[in-house]
Amino acid sequence: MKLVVNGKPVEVAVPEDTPLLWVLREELDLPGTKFGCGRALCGACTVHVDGAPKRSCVTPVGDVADKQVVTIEGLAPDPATLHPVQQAWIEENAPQCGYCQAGQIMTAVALLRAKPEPTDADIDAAMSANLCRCGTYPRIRRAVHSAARAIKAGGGDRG
Amino acid sequence: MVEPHPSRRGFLGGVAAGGALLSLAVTFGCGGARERMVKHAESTGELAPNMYITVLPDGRVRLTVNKAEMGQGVGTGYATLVAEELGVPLERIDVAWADSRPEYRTSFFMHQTGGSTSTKEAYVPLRRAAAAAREMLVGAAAATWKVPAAECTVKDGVVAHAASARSLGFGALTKQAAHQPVPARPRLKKRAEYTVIGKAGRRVDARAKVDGSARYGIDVVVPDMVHAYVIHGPQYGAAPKTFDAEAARKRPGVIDVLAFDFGVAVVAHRYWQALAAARDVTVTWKKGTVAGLDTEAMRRAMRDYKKAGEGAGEHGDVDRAMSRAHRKIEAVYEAPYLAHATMEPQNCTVAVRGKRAEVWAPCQSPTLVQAFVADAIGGSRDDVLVHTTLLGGGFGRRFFPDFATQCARIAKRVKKPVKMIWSRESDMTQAFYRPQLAVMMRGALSPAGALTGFGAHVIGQSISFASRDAIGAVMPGIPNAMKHVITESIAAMLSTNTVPDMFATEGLKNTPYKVPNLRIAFTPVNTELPVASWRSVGNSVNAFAAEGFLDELAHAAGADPIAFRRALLPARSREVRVMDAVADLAKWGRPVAPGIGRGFARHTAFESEVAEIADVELVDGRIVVRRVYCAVDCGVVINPDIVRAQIESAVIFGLSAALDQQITLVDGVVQQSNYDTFPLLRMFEAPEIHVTILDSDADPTGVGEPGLPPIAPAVANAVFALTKVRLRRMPLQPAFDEAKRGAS
Amino acid sequence: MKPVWILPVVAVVGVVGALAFAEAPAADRAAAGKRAFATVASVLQSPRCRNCHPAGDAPLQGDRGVPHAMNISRATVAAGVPCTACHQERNSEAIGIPGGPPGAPHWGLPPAKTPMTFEGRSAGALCEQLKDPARNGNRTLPALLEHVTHDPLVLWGWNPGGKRTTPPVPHAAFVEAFGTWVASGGACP
Repeated sequence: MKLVVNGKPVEVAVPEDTPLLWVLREELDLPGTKFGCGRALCGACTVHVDGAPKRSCVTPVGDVADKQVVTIEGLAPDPATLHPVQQAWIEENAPQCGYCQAGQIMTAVALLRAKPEPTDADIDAAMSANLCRCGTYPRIRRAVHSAARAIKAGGGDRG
Repeated sequence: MVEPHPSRRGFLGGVAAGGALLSLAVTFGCGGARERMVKHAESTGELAPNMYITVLPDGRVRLTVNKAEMGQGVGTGYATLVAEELGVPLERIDVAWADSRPEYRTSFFMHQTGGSTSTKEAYVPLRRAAAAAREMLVGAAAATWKVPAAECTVKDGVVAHAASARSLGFGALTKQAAHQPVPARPRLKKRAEYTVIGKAGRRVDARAKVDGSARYGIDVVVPDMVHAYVIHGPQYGAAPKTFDAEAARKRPGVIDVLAFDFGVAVVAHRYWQALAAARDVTVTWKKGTVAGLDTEAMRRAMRDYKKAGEGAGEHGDVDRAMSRAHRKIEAVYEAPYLAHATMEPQNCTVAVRGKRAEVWAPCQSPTLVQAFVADAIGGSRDDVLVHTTLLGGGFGRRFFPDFATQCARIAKRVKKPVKMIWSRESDMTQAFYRPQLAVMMRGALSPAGALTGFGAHVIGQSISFASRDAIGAVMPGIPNAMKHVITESIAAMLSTNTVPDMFATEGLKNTPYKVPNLRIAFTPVNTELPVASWRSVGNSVNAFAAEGFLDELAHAAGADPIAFRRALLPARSREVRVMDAVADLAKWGRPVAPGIGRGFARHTAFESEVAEIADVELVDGRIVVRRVYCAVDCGVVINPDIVRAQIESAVIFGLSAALDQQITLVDGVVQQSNYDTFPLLRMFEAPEIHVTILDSDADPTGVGEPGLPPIAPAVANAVFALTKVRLRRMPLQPAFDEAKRGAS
Repeated sequence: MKPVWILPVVAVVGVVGALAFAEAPAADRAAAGKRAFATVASVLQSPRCRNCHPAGDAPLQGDRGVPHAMNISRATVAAGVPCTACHQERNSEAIGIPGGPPGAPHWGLPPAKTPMTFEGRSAGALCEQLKDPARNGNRTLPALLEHVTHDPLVLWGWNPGGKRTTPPVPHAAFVEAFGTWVASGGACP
């Protein structure tokens, strides 16, 4: 099966009903996308498919054939640079254990593309399906706002 | 961050892994350690004066942390201590995680992370280790330049001699420094001299945690590794009776399907193959070890318990105070079993060769993992090498290495390195819960409203009893053969309550409230359902009981809740200062907005003092916590932003439990299985949290846990302020719904 | 659960039914249409249909119709997280994930401007809304019939996976009733 992951065409030999999550983690050596619940309840496995967030733990890989898949590893334009959302996460000391943060960041990037200047209500609407057991929500909220400012100042998220 | 991975082949083959670096002694420069240090420096260019610090020839510093990073920021905290005393920028320190070698057992004979003790434990020794290295580097520079060491200064990893305008970077001094004597008592900076400690620096692990490069247990990859998925039984502790794996064995990638007493393991080349094949396995199960356990029946039995319980702390005569009271109040506070629900499900990777094993585990105690894996494979503890990975949350759960035992037993049978990953459902149903508890409270008030008697009787499962294997496993110098005898004696003592349980009454037996008659008691109710430390352990329930009940007493006495407590605490005490700080922050005493109820609670835990005020609203019958104000005194603060983050974290973690979470069992079957039935607070439910940190010169105390205990009672007290409904049972939302139904 | 391949047949039955009624006198057709709409309404207001046609902006869950967990609403979609982030093209059972989200192609809510509310509407109000082009996405009655006959998301209601209940009548009976109602020119009770 042919996929496009982080801009690169790849081919994997797996049944089409295999969850995308495990294809990324085990077949493509991209373990930044995390397994949390296996049932789309926590958002730790969130990736982008054609620019929209997707819970990879419940997405059969067959459904994303020939679509653009982007994971946390492919969010930044190059290895030396961070996406403004990632940068804001660092500046606000948002991560604690960090396990959920790849999913949080992928969702936040989608939020900021849809709402470049999100209100707190927008953040509640977009981010409430991503769980964090460490309770980093107040910092994620701050980081989303500061990333919005940074993207505005820097002229886009280059994603 | 640098993650050292000593060669697996080396360890399992019995070859001394890693060479001289690994054998450096824990203490400074004694015995043969000095010679090894010199040899090591000659061959590698690294200055390694102790087990924590290695100065590399490029001037970077490797800090080996013998703690688990589970979000609390221990890596950043330790790096901050080292940056301060060594004189290097924080960014130049690479944190590595210590493996299970004996010299790292610096905490209760263990290498362990728990009890909010890491910063307290390391505050002096780690600074001393860094200062010793600094003095050696300065000594080397002074010797090179033939100037007095006292004339040299250190800044940003460079030793300078101002008078002669000479300077040398640390990296250029390592070999000479290894010849310097290791100072036993290097000079430590005074607090006023700190330039790094106390500043809100960024986390050293943030970058890796936002770009997908941080590696957790679940991400471990070792050569020839295969994957295991475990099917656990419906009743807790059920062993398989029969299983049919014919179809599963034919699935692609499947290596074997193996039955154990803990379940059926499906082993495949890939985890997704094991997951897919597991659907084709049919298992019938024996009765579980807790068959018949019904948490509602257990709750009623605990509520109805009438005997007095064994005393854990007593002065005066509470019975007499109660009989003579102007007003006496009695109430039962209750709390359910709770799962930790770490975002990273339990997992482990084990390679077994003969009686030796190498383990990669997200664990809070590699020492315990060593002991349990040794038991599982019939080896001895020091033949098991454990690498601690990053932890996707710990909260007390990852202290208990049942997952390592299971993985080791699978690996032993498969004869290949195995990575085992539990499903979320297994993670939630395979126990190690906070115990279900009832706390019987009683209080006596004088005509003037003074508290003359205070009693608390905790009834429920003992964590110490449930941890007997763990306690036995880490006792120093006890041969394996003796271990079980010892654990059985510990168990016997704990089950008859002839030794005090160290967790059951914590937060009660050490209450700072001065009451003339006081009795704290405990009655163990033991089941075969494993219980565990759960963020703040006994405090999480005992503070709910004590601080909720004090609010009841204050109202009965017609007193302001903070004023009522102030009367029970020494004037100008730390407790009072922290109470006053949070009262100032929240403007306690001023009218609150209509529809808002405001509640207060305070608690001392892990030697830190935290007071909290919660503002609560009701929206369509739902308890909504809008704002939480917190004041904390945790001694000297290493990184104030991490302290704030930990208080926020504890408040949100505690709110999830206070409002909604419970683990219930019907006939030994856990009723919750995933985040739909065991909900965590979500972004839209998270309150605004305001934290103030009191300035202190005292040595650091706990930070990861102490923010949690006050939140549940603060919210319950706020609900009372708003509705006059007194909630004495967690989770509060169903208790509130029940109270409303009862009233209508 | 097997896919419902009988649906084209069902559609034919529906259209044939509609044509048959076309021969009947207008008054009879109107009466039959009103009677048939009672069946249509019972389906639209069953949990499988109602839950994504809520009165508010939040979809509902389960037979009791509680608001969707996780603060999900049209605002979530507007904020960049479509329903299809979690709801895939198939029920999660179909890829071996029992208890996962239900799924069907283009899972989602009606647009905010034309929310096509089923929850809490009387049969009469439901009927008027359904046939009003200003509120139904500019659809003709035959286009509506086509939608309820073939749309995979509508069909999902009869193959919802898990322990979800199905609407009160089989899909064929629903399509037949819908056809009768369409043939009546959209007679409202």
